[in-house]
Amino acid sequence: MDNRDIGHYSMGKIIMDMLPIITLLLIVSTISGYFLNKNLGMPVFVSLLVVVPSFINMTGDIASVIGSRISSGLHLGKIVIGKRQKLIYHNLMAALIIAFITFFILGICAETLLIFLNGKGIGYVTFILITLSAGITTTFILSIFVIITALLSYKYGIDPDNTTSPIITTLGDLIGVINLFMFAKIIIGG
Amino acid sequence: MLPKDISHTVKDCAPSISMYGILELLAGIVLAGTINKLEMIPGVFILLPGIMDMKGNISCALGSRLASALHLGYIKPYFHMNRDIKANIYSSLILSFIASFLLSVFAFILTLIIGLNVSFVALLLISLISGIIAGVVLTFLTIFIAFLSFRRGMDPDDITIPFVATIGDIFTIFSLIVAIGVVGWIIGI
Repeated sequence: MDNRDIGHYSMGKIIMDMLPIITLLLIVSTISGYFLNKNLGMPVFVSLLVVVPSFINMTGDIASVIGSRISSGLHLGKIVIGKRQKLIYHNLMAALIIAFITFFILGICAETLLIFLNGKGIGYVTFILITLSAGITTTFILSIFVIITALLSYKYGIDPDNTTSPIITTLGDLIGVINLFMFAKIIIGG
Repeated sequence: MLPKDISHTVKDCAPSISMYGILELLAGIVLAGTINKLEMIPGVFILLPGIMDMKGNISCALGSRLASALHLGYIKPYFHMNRDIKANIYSSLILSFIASFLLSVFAFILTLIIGLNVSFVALLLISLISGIIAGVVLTFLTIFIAFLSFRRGMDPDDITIPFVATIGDIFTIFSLIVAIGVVGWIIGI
């Protein structure tokens, strides 16, 4: 990171710096909202709604870890573009293993909460299968986007720390919501 | 056997990510518990991801700027008004307002495209009321957490963002429920 003095803050500059990216994120969020709204009629919609905030944050957290590790790897010269990438492969593997563990736990906790509060859930096996398959797929797709963004940013002289986060927030919701309901439909068969 | 760097990454990250995920279930439960209210106003689900993203886009950026400003000594970790604090507070509040307004416009355009019959005024009011309540609460909460962590000798970069990201969702959903209550009362359902 360069350590240039950014000077004191001004309200106008903060707003003008952020408004374009916020506008873009809001447009993508609206599209995610469309997919959420489209699945409103699903019989298990309410049960899935319980995991939506966790699901989006967890895939985002995992991709952020990978993004910042790859950024650091590029800054430190441990990742060299054009060579065989052991570090990238290992980070991707780690992301998928973390996804497996955390989404397994999420499925168990969500179903337990549903049974506790509602008297009945959608079944441990079903819920765990949904969170696992949707979680691992979303983490994989998001991590690939993050890795490509980090490598391309670095290649063109942009600090990857500044580009990977907006990519995660923008695409995380959209890919997460689509996958969650798609896998639920496949697994439940509705 | 896994290579060492993979198992280290997994051991470092899996516990905290699981913990935040379980905490976030609170936000999900509140959301699912109010499904009847949410369903009363068509189009609310289109707003939902955008409303929930605002804390990340606006408050986490605020947290990150405050952390830098504290490190640089531009602001002191107790409540006072100087130009840096004012610029940060006012810009977050104004951005919350602009973003809430834009979100309702985008959502309304989408409902026109997909042919859903939705009241623009209802979408606008829900987005503005929840965006402004969440914006005000989260702005001051972010400042409080950044100051508190800095005073305790911790790096506010590490504390503020995960905290705001998790607590922010719960606050945002409460502000959405308040907004739906108010709008429901105004339009009489």
